[in-house]
Amino acid sequence: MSEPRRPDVLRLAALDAGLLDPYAAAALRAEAAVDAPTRAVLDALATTRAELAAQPRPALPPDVAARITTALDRVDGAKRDAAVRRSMPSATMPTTGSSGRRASRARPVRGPDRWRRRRPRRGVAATLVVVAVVGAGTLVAHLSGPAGASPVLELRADELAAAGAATVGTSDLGPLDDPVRRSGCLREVGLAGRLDPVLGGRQVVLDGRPGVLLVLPTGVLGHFRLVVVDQGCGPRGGILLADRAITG
Amino acid sequence: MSAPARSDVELVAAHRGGDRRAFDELVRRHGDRLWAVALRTLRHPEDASDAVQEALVAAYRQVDGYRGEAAVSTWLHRIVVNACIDRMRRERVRPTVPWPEREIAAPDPDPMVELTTRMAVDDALALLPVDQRLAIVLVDVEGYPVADVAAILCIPPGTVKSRCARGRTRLAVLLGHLREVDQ
Repeated sequence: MSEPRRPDVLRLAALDAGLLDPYAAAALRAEAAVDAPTRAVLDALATTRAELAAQPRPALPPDVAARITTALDRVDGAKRDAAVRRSMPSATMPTTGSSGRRASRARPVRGPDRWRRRRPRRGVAATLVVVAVVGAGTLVAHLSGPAGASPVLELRADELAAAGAATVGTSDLGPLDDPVRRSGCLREVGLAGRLDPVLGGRQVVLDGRPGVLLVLPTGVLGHFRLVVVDQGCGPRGGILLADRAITG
Repeated sequence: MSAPARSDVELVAAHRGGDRRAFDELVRRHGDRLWAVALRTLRHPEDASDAVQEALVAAYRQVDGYRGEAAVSTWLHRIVVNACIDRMRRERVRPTVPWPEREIAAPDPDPMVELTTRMAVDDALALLPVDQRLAIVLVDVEGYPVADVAAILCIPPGTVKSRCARGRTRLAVLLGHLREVDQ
């Protein structure tokens, strides 16, 4: 006695998927109508499709959604950084071509709250009373907060020279107290090899952007270089907020 | 009276114009489906999370790459699918095993046999080759029309159907609706 003929499952799957031409499809369907095993295969494929379609759709988990938002924030931050760099040609010395090249390079994005950290610290800034005596070359910041709190100087770009003169001998470099980080930062903004010794430094808010003001030597007696970099500046990238030469 | 919801194309245009909330709205609108595709393709939440994030950041940055030739959702799905494929190629994420060629027959008449051979759908999907898995996930699980899936995968509609046919056959066995026959 011969074995019963088994249906061609792949051909039936092709029928099920709509791959066969209308004539072949009609012939196979007619065959299925009178052949139980063939019909069973088509039913099994239909059941499989139904089971797949009945799968519940998992919702995007909130933590993943938050990660995506953070990642998009970083992209925004990087775009703003690039825009700030492009808009600062007047704040940089014409002789510092290297910093311009650095500015055009893509900077690695770091923490998710990077941009927020760069926003002016309004709470701190509101308590500051800055008394500038530009003519005398001094700029003094008074904090109304607790004694010993680190004075953060809020200033405009045109006050930088006065602030720089007052910063010589000050060593409040904040995150750039770490010499390795400072060295990496200066390298990243195109100032490698011109950083030692740092003659002074303090944390500032320059035109609304938190940063660190550094006073660097130039090798010429009485001539200094004032550099302001963003607070996140380090070996993985940084932003040069200002770069100016002064005569002391 | 609230403003009418903007279409996907309008949201893309707004994003190009600098409206950050526009892209957030696209993510809210399509995030679940993109996540589902990535999760079912890669199977592991960490991998899927990375792939979706990577894809959406790429879409956010390269919105000019969307030229309106396909629906915005198709464009987003294509980017997510490519991110999934890249991830699997790069990291050889949970490679599938080759399926031995066997003859397939109608279901076993014994329901107990059927029950013991059944697999969970997600487990069964994971055993499909990636090209079949993607086609099945998009067509059968997510319910996209074949033409849309062809656009997402950048392949002819006939190839989508062919991959679905092979994938369904294998799934039908794994899910216990068909049985393999030892030759």
